[in-house]
Amino acid sequence: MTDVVDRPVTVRELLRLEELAGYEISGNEDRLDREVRDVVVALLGGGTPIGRGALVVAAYRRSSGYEAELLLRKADTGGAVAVMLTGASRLMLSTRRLAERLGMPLLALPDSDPVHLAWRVSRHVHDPERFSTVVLSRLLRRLRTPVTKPDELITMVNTELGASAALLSSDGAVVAGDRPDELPAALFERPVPQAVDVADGHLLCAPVFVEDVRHPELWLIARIPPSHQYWTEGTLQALSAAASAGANWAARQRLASERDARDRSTLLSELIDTGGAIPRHLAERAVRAGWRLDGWHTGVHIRVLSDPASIVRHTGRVRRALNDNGFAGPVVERTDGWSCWATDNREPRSASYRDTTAAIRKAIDDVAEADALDVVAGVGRPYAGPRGISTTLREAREACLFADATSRNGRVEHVDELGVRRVLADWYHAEAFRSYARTLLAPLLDAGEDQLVETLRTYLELESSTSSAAAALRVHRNTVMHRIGRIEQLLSMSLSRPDERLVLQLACRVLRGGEERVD
Amino acid sequence: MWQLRPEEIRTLALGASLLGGGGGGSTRAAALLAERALRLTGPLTVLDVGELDADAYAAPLGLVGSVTVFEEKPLAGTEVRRAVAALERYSGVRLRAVLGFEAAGVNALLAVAAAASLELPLVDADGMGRALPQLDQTVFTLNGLAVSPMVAADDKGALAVLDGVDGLLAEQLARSAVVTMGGWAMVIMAPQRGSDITRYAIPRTIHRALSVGRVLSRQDYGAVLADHGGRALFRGRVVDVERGPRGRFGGGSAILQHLDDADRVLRVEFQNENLLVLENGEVRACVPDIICLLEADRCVPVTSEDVRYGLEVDVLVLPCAAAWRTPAGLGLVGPRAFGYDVPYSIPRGES
Repeated sequence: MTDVVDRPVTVRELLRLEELAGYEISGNEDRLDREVRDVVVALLGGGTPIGRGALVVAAYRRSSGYEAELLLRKADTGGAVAVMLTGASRLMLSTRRLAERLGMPLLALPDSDPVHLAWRVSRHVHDPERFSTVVLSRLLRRLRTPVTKPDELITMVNTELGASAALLSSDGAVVAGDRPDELPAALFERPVPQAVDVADGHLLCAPVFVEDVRHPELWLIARIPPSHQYWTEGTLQALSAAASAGANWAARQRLASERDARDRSTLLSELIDTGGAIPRHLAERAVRAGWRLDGWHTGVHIRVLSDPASIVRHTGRVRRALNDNGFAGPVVERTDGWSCWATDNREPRSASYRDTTAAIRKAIDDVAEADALDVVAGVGRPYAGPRGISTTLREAREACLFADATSRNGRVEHVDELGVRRVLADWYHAEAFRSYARTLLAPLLDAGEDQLVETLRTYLELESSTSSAAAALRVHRNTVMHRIGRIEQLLSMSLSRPDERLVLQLACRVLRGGEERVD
Repeated sequence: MWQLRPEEIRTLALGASLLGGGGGGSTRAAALLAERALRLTGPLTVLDVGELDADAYAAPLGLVGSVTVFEEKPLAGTEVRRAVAALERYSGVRLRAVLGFEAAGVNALLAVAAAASLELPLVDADGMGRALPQLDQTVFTLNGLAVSPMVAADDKGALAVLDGVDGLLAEQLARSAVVTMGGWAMVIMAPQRGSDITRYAIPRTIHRALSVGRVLSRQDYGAVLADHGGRALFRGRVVDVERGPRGRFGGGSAILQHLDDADRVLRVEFQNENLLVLENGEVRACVPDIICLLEADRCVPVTSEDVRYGLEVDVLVLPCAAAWRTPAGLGLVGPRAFGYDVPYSIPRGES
């Protein structure tokens, strides 16, 4: 922000006032930048003295339109900066021409009392700082009712602040309103309210903080006509107030979607936990959630590898990606990702598994690409009836354990293709073994020897071959041998014993999340 | 003393029309009437003001009301005779001559027709020296001469004698009688003594109308200015006309764009007559000077009701009678009397 320059407001700036809404200008628009020092009401044809820098307000009487011309002349001689005529719906050519000739801006306004108008404009002229109180209180009055839609917020800002506003996400995408033509590149770098001068006005930007207090998730941008410094500041303050209402709205939205997610998750858990017949209240809740319990269900489990905290926020994106790829059905948040399933009236043919897997793969790629979210998925076989949902989802979850971004099948595994690996799935599930594995490898992990864990894993996966492991790790064979020696020493275990070797290999896999394939 | 011949009536009509300054009404029907009357009675004797005996009486007369209605519902021919008979009976004086109270527009010609039909001489003088909308806007009222008893006669035989009122009240009473009488009436004012007419009436106005008409019929308005004073203001095309309530009778504004310099714009305010001319927010001319619009090239006077978009006109200003340029005169017929809040002025360098 530049320093406050205590200069009078200009005619152009006054045009922003709601008091002057509906004005029409004749005469010279270049002269609108002249500074207004006073506002006087002239009786047309009367003897009101007009001083330098005066804004002259008068009532236009159609039956004596010539008076406006006499007044223009008088205003020009007196050094006035503009003439406003109230009730001037149609000015005759000679009046407009005279305004042009004298270079005197002539504003024709709808019918109103000139004295009242002059009084209201005069307050802004003599006390420019007043403007901020006016807009702020007006906006706050509107904000008494909570914002339910971002469009409401935009309309509110547009009408109350006389701006053209937009709500943008922090990457510049439009959430509501019209995107301004020009956005300063450095805008999103500093999360503070700022006013930027642009051609023909100012761009005011207020950050909207929803969760993170350092990085705003949204920006409320408002474009306003050229304004006095005090007015720009006042409007920016009001915009910041509107931004906090916007934050309020976003937080409420997020809260509601978290609550919905929790409801869905609970319902699904209960469905899965219920053995035998589905109780009536559960069936009812499922129907209310739009879930079909009969028919053939094909389950998909999607697991987030990167940041499990962001699951709820991405549900919409995941649902859209699945829908777009022809997999329509409920999407329910779980602790590690999402459970989803699609329901058919008839049993899907086994030949269709491949298509399903391909569709899911495409959806997963879409999600990974759009949201930079690291996800993998597993697909279960179709099962019929209410119990079928939990069965197919369990299979999908098992298949998911084997899916890996680096694996041959890409990020998606179908349970049918897992074969013998499914035997291991239970191991990977078991929390008891997971903690045992951590204890077992603790000497390596605690020493921060990630490199040794990686070497051990690679060595075991590659049939205890030092040369293969050396090639995979891109080190010398002797290095691998040396490391294996150190590992045996640290763990006090010997890889030559089959039992110990098997346990170590399982432990390595569990720690990696079981995603490694046995090929 | 001079003779007005029937073949001069058209010339007189042209001049009277210009001196109407946009008002005074169309002279077409009145000119035909006057010409016919003169053809029946022979040339009309016109007396110059000094030629009337000081003790002889002459009465000002003319039409009051709407000229448009008058053109559709003309004189029955007996109005003036009945009015004069009533006036002579009521006031007990015998008229030696008549004069028009308004020697411009239709009333210049009706005064001629009336004099001819009464077989009385016409005095070459009038009470306005131009066209004005109200009966109280005469030099008689200006100089405190009584205008009542006043007689109004219509074409159906009705007569109204107004007495005991002068000035604006007389005007208002006569106006309401005229409305009831069907839109117009012939009005004859109180007989004036020859000495008062010599002293106060505006002289030689019939002569002036005739001479203006003569020059105009040669399509040479420059000679009008040379002979009678005055100035040419503007030559432009009408680009905007707005009509609406103005003063007592309604009127409007016309905007003219100069033919040679498109940046110049002139604004003419009119009611019955053209009353105010502005250019660049400054008064170029105003009532009581006579503001005339002349159709360019053809030199035909344009009345304010004929002003229309696209018309090309010359704007001339002729000086009014000296009596109107006094403070009292301006009070009666100056711009403020018509609701224009500007002082009467003649721009510097113009006469």
